[in-house]
Amino acid sequence: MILSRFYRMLTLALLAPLLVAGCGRVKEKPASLAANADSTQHVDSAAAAPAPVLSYEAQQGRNIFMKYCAVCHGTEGKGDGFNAFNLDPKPRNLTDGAYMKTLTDDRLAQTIREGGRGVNRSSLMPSWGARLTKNEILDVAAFVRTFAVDSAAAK
Amino acid sequence: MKNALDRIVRSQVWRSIFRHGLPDSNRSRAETVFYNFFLHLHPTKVRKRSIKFTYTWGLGGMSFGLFIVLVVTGALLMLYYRPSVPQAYWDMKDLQFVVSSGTFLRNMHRWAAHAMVALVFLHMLRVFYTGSYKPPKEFNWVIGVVLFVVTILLSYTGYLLPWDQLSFWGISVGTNMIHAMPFGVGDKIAFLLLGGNIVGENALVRFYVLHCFVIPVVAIVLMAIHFWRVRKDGGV
Amino acid sequence: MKRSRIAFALSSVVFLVVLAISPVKDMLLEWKGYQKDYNRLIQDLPQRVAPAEIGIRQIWVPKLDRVDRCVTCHLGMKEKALAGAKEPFGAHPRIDHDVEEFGCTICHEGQGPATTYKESIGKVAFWEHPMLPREYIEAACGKCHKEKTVTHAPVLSAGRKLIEEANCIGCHKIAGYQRQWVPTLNGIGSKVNRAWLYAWLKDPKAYFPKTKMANFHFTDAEADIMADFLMGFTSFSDSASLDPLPAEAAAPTEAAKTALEELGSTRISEARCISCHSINGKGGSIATDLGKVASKTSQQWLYNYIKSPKRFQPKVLMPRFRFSDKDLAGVVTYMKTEYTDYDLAEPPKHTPDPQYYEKGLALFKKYNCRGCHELEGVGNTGEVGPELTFVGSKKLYEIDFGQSGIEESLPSYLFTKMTKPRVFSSVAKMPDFGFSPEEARAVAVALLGNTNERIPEEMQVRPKQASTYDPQGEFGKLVNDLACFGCHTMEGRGRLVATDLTQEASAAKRDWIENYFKVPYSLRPILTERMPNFRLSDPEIKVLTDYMSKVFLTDTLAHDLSVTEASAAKGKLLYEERYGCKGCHQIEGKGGYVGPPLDKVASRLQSGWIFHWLKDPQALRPESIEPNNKLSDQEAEALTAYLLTLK
Repeated sequence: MILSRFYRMLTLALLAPLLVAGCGRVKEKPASLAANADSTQHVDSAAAAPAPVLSYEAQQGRNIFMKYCAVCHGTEGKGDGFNAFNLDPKPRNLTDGAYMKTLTDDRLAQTIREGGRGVNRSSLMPSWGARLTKNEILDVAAFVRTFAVDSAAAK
Repeated sequence: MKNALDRIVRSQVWRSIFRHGLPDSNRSRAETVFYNFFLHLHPTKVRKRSIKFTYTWGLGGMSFGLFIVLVVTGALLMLYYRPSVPQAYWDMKDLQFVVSSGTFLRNMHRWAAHAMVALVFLHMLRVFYTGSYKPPKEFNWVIGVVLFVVTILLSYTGYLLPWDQLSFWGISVGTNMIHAMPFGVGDKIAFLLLGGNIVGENALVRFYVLHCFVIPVVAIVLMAIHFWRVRKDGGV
Repeated sequence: MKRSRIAFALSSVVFLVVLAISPVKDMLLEWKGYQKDYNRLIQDLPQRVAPAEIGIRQIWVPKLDRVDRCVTCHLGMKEKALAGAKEPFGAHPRIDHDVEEFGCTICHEGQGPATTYKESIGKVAFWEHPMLPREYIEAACGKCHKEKTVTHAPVLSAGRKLIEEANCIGCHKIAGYQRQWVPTLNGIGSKVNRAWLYAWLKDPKAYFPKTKMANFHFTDAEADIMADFLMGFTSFSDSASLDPLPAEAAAPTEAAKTALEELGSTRISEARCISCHSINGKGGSIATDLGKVASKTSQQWLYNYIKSPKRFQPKVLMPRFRFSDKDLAGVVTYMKTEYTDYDLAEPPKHTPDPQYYEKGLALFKKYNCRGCHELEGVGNTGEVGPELTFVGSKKLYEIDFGQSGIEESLPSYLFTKMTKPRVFSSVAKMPDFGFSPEEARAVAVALLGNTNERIPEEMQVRPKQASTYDPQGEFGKLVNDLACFGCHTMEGRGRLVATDLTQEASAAKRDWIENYFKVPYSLRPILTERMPNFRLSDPEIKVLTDYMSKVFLTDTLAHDLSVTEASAAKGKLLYEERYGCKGCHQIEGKGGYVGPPLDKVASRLQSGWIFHWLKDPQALRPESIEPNNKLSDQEAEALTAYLLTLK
């Protein structure tokens, strides 16, 4: 015990200059880390960047949205797909940030999964729980979220 | 304190190891040298001229020191290294990335090996320039030359073990050179060395055994004779 | 003596210090810093996240022969709370593969065993697989997923489609791609005029922007030689010959010509040419543009070709319309008037090179035109480009970057090769396919996935065996004549522009099918590709429907049920209220446009098909976007009963 402490003291004393050098290296690390994060990490808030890069989930969600949802909700999520004018009530405008904020993630996923009738809304919104997997529904939800962020940034 | 030391020196165990007391007369000095394993190497007398550092530059001693370093680091490296084709290179990577001080061990082994080749060669030059190969020491010169070859062989066999492109092609080129020997002898030797016709798993195992066992044992035996001769001829 | 002792003591201390460097470096390892950072980071989170024990972590995947220590620093991979956290602690996006099962480097590449940032990125000496840039990451999917369309990998799938469509296998050997149909050049001298051919050779996309033909960047002299060379091939395959224009085409008066044009216009719109062909960019995309076709070929050739396309292009997927000579006369007259390019520049006058044939042949072989186009009398030159089956495993030292000055990596090499094929070497022969940056990246992604890595058989996803379905007899002749495979899939063969007909007789009623052949209409108003009216004769329709009702049948889809008023009423309620079917379907003019109108669905579909369709639409047509409502049998029967009342 005494010996090991002695050894440690001795090492520390002898290696003070080395430690200083070592600390120098530790300090410069976060800088390179930050640079790395900028280039590889997706951007969290749209306000930070002019053209937000979609997260991986949202990219996957976009492909599904364009195939199944855009006919009514529109490619830009404004609820103006070509099929929308037949519908009463109209499809939800997904760019409506004020409304979208009131939806929890769970509720959004539930709406996609169970359709309008699952959440006491119009049954014109079909349920996708049997067509899409759980992950696909979460992907779509992640993409749907990006509409409202866009409009908030535009205002 | 002094009592305790005295008790130890007089104990049965101590005396069974050191059969004589401290050398205090010419006779007991001679006995010490004769009966002690570590001292029996020493000559009875040494010329003053040969003690001078600039005469020998300590090159032989330093080579031996590096050999010790190589044995120690080599033994430690053997703990992490498996001489098989799928594993060898990954074990190198593990030494670099995972083993504590693994890079240090490898570098130490590598640089000590390079230095040893250089020092053994310089030692040979020194012996040549001081004319120390002349009779009656010509046999020891021959052993020295063999030891030089053994050092080179150690270095060469170790070259294959990391199993990267450099070592693979290094050994491929080297063994292809052996093929050039006439009367089919080269082909036989190369086949024997590689355990086949290509540098593969067999070659790796053979080089591993040569590098870690066969050649070091030969080197140790030759070194023992070499050192004993040197000392008996009055060198240091 | 004393001095040497001091020197000895000093050197001992120095020696000790030197020895201590290594353990100290061990204490200050990079990854230890990250792990401490991580433990500090999670303390500030509102959620509880287990702290990391200091130590190296790894994922060992024996079947892929990989050891990945990335998780030593990427500690928050599975923590939802760390989604979007700063790297290396962020959560991994949700994917269908478990990281523990597959490891990291099988997808991302890079040096898995490494424990420092720089080494793990892999752009270091003695490491051949640096990390794939993010925009090329789908290349890794292609290592195991060899099927044509990979779900969740749109870029890879698009790249594979482009490789197939651009017919890369004309010059390169690549496993897993099918040869495309490319027009034969036999008789080209009797088909096109020289001015058009010259302009086409110089820049094919100027005539038809969507053409798959690449731009070979011929010089004026080369284009002249090639044009002269090709114009010499005037005889068609199988010694077919052009018939003279019919007498009906002669329009002595202006009024007769107008009448012919009107007839032609009617026939062209009835035949729905624009389902496949575009007219100056508007219309279908599966066949060539017709907007300037009258400046490309003669009326006589158009007449003969439309009359019987396969006489001149044996494997073309153009149907033979049952036009009378009068109809055809009208069609070609109309085309002559409407589809002429009055801006086509006359090529500069030139005297043909006396050695144009030899030089043309040399050029033809040099650029391996034979790789795509058939031409009688010119032997197969084989693949002239390097094999690309394992191009994703190409080593950097095997690549000549020339004077391009691009980043020296395989992805950037392949990307640049697609956009500027000849930038790396002045002797490169690869033509310019005019890929957009996105397309070039997609192709590069698909190529990067072609590696020679050893993947265990059970982890590979192989493409389905190509269908060998080849109908024979009268039906087979008609399928060939009408080029049904150009739009429909049958038994796994053909395109999916239109319906898969494999189960058509189980789906639709025979009467309806017969009527549909007579007057085809589009079930969905939103579709652009529509079934043309071939003007089939009654015996021909009988042949088709007879075969279909015998072969395109799946017994398990039969489901008889009795329609009662009660069940129909229940079904109507389900239709209108519970499942919101009217959102997409129309009945009596009310409802959506996505699905087909259901007004007369009972006279169109079989009851069993409706029932099974309602139960699980994608089981019958995987590409359908109809939601699966998980109906119970009673519900499905009630809905079916309701729909069966709509006659």
